[in-house]
Formats: sequence, structure tokens, C-alpha cells
Amino acid sequence: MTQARTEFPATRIGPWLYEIPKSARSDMRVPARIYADAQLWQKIAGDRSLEQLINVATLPGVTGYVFAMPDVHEGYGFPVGGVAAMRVGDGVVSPGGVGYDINCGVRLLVSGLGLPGLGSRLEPLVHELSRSIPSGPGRSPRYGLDGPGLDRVLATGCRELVARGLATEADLEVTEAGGCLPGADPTLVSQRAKDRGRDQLGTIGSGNHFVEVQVVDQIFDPAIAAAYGLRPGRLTVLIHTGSRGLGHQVCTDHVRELDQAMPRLGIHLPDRQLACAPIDSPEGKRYLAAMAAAANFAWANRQAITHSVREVFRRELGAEGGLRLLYDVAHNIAKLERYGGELLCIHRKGATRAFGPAAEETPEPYRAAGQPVFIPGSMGTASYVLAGADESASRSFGSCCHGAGRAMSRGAAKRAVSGAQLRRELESRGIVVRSPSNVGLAEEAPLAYKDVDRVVEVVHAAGLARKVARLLPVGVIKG
Amino acid sequence: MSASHRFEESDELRLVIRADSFPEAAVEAGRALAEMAGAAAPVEESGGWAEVSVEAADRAALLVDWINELIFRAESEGWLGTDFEVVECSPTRLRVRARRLGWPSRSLPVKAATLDRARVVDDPGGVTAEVTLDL
Repeated sequence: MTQARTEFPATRIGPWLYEIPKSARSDMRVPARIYADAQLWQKIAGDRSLEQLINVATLPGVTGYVFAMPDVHEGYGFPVGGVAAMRVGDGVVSPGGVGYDINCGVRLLVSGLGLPGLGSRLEPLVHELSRSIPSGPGRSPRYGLDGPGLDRVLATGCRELVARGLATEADLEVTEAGGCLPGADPTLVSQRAKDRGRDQLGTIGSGNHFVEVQVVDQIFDPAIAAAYGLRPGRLTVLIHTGSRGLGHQVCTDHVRELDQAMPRLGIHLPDRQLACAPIDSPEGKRYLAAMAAAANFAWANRQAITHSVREVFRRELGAEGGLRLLYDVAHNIAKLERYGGELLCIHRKGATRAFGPAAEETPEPYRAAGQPVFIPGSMGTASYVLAGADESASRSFGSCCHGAGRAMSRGAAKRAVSGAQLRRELESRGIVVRSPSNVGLAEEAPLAYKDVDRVVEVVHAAGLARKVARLLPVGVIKG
Repeated sequence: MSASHRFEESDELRLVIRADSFPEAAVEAGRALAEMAGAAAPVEESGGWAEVSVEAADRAALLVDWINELIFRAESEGWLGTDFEVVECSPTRLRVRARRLGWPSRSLPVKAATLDRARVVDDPGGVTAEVTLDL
């Protein structure tokens, strides 16, 4: 055991695990555990994420441990890459523990076509995808919704898109929660949130959101890869986005409401961005119902983008252009889940659910393999397909990492690399790039992120999820 | 009367404002938002003034709500404010007239202002206000 170099008394309790004891700060209710190797630990200890994790450990009703995944970095109140479980009986729900982009998540589509079969059609394919899927901040009227239509999306998520011919029953079967979180109440989503989201269905947004055409580069677990239908050389499409302005407004609305309610609720917080309410209080129930609605909007958003991608693939590739949804999983969400017989509210912010074969919620097609988990790398680098492991239930409340994790500010990235130069570098590697701005490209340059290979290795070695396949990008449509 | 602002970077962006008074700081926050947006795309003059009012528990939350209100107006109503006149200001209420500049793209590089380490501090030189912005 070695003492870690940090202002907190962290102890390395295993090759991939550090622990900050409950005694580290008098207001901690539970210890904190951080999954990392020595190199990632140095980066983690260099920002405010540990302080934020300790703040989370002070929340009422928190139980077990608070966890940080190896891609953790500082967020607003709650670190990105953090997991916390609250007892439903006496615990709280915190919008900051979900984040602004409610149900930001990832889905992977699998083609029957291999990269060699695509030949010279790659560039026109990516070009048409970029024309068909709005990216960057702002909106698009293509899937514009009237008031009742938006309410149905908020209430039923992807189910409404089946009715509109934009999704299939098979898609719902392999979407987390069937693409519809129970308990959603559109009447608890503010008109402001609805105004921001109304014309954003089917849009990528900005920041680190993207649609990527990829090729299966390496298989680590042939049996699970076969269960997922992944073969070397096969094309895939990764979609990473969330609930857009609607989710942001839901978070803003409820952080504001709960911040004002803190004195009345008698809750004292080390950070106002952790504003929270008892799960069974009127304020807590209102947030959970509005969050579920925003989560449903996000699943519908990724499904609408899927429809656009499928249209382009069919148009450009004809009969070969079919795309099967492998899975869709959230990485910013709060859900009620049962551990050891106890019902808990699991906050995952920048953390992916990673249920193993034994979990009831693991969808039927993956009962032998475990729930698929997708870990997007930074732009132009590898992404990973993992399989959730049963051990994750006791080790991290069924969670693992969600990406590479930012290691450099957007401004620093812009100063360190030119967007035009980065575009040329990616293109020289045969990657077709479409982005509304070179500045946006520079902000998401690979050097701004941690090494995704290392992050995934820790998750694999710690037994939270198993490596299944590595995907390399061949076309990037950046938001 | 003077006010200035700067942006500090960590993983996200922190707006730091120095001003003679809190009303001046609020106006400066509006200008800072417009500056960020202006750097991304041109604006069109559309004229007219709009009144914006927010209420919150204290000045830090008031400043956060004020910025969020401006973000919402840009996204939903398609205008940005660059000139501001404070009509009323208390520790829990802010009422401002903002000159409307058309913002057809309805998009901003800032998605939200947060309460993360938000603070407004009086000092001998006036007021220092800090807000973390979600990009």
C-alpha cells in the first residue's frame, strides 16, 4: 500500500483502486473510492475532482462509497466520472449529480458492410451524413414537434418515434430502459425547456458530441463480440449526444429551485451546485419526473439521428446499407436500482451503467454476454466496446467510465493546436472530417483528453467491464 | 463608474468581473456574454429594448440567473443584449432594460451559468463577482 500524493489522505488499496477514508473530512458520510492507475491518479489529483467527490460524500443518505471512474475530471458540483448511491428512504437526489446534459449517452449501429466494401463511397457517405444531421449549437426544423408531439416524446421517449416511423420495436429492445424512463411527467418540464428543445430533435449539438463512422479494428473477446455481431473490418456508427437545450433548461430550473429550498429543507452543502432534495419530497419527485422526461427526449434525439443515418446509408449504399442498433446507453442520469435488496437512487454523471449477465435489466439478446458499454475516445482516436460485468454491482454500483476524460481546457487546446492543422492530420490518416468550425475541432483535439486506452485498461483490469472490441474512426461529423 | 471582466480557464470557463458596484457587475456580465457570442458569429441590429427581471436567494444566484435569462432569450427569442440599463437592483431582485440585437442563429457558445463556486464579494474597490460557465 502506498500513500498517494494529494492533499487528501488517499491510500492505494489495489493496483487500480485508491481510497479516501471517511475520516479525511469531518463532514464525509462515506469513504470515496477512485479507480485509476498511477499515471491517471496523478492527473486526477491535479484538479478539483477529488474535492468534489468528497463533497458528494457529504450528501444526506449517501451509502456505500462514492466512486470516481478513471476518466474523472472536475465538473460543476459533482465531478464528471462520478457515481453516488442514495438511500431512497432518507437520501437526496441532486440535479448536479446528473449534470446539465441529462441522458447524454452513446449508441452504436452496426453495418453488415466492411470498410473494403465501401471503397470510394466513404467520403460521399460522410458528406451526406453531415448534410442530413444538423450539428453545432442551434436547432433544425426537420423533426420539429408541436406542443402535444413534444409532450408525447417527453412522456414516452422512443415509443413515440415508433409511432412516427422513426424507430422499430427492435430498436427499443436494445435501448436502455426501452428508451423510456418511467415516471416522466411533461407537465413538470418548464415551457422554457420545451421552447429550447422543440426544434432540436435529431440534432447533434456542440462540444464533444459527434457522429462517427468507424471500423472494427480489434477483437479482444471473440465470444462476446460474436454475441454483439461485431467482426473485424465491419463498419459501425457511433452517436454521442444528449438532451440538448431542453435538458440544460431542466437542470437549470431545478438547481435554481432546490438552491432556494436548501434553508427550508435544512440541508447544508459544501457546494451550492450540489443543491438537492429528499428523494421522496415534492421537490425531489418533481425533479425526478422532469429529469425522466428530459432523458426520454435524449433517447428520442439519438433515435431520430439514427433514422437520419439509416436514410443516408440506404440512399448511398443501397441494399448493403442496413444498420442494426447494437445498444444505446446513458452516461448522465439518476435511476432507481436495487442493490443487496435495497432500493437506491444511483447518480451517474459521466459514468456508464455496466450491468453484467445476471442483471435483470440486461436486455435479452445480451443475457449471456452482459450489457454493451461504449467508450468513445477523443476525436480521431479509438473507441471501445465493453461488456458490463456482474462484479461491477458490488464494486461501483454497476458503473464504469464514459470516455477518455478531458485533461486540458478548451482554450488551452485551441492555443496548442490549430483546427486546420488537426483536420489535415486526420485526413492524412484517411479520416474524413466534417465540422462547422476549425475552432470546434481544435477544442476537441486528442491532446485535450486523457489516453482512452489507459482508461479502458483500468476499467477492464478492475473488473467493472470487459474489453470486447476496439473501433477506429474513418469519418467524423463533429458537433 | 467602471467595470471589467476576464475569463479564467480550468476544465470549463470562469467569468471574473471587477466592478464599482453589483449593478455594474451585472451589466458587465451581460456584456461579457455578448462578447463571447460576438466572437462566434455576427449580430444584426434589430432595435428596441426589452426588460428582463430575475429574482434569487442572493446576489451570486441573481447573477447566475441573470446570465441564464440572457442565454434563454438568445435561444428562444433570437436576440442578444449588449447595452443595459439597470432599473432596479436589490440583493434578491434585478430588473434591467436590455437593447435587443437580433441573433438569428439563436445559438451561443455558452449553454448555462452555474452555481459552481459562484460568488459576489464586496471589497474596498467595489465588487468582485465570479461565475462558472458551462460550454
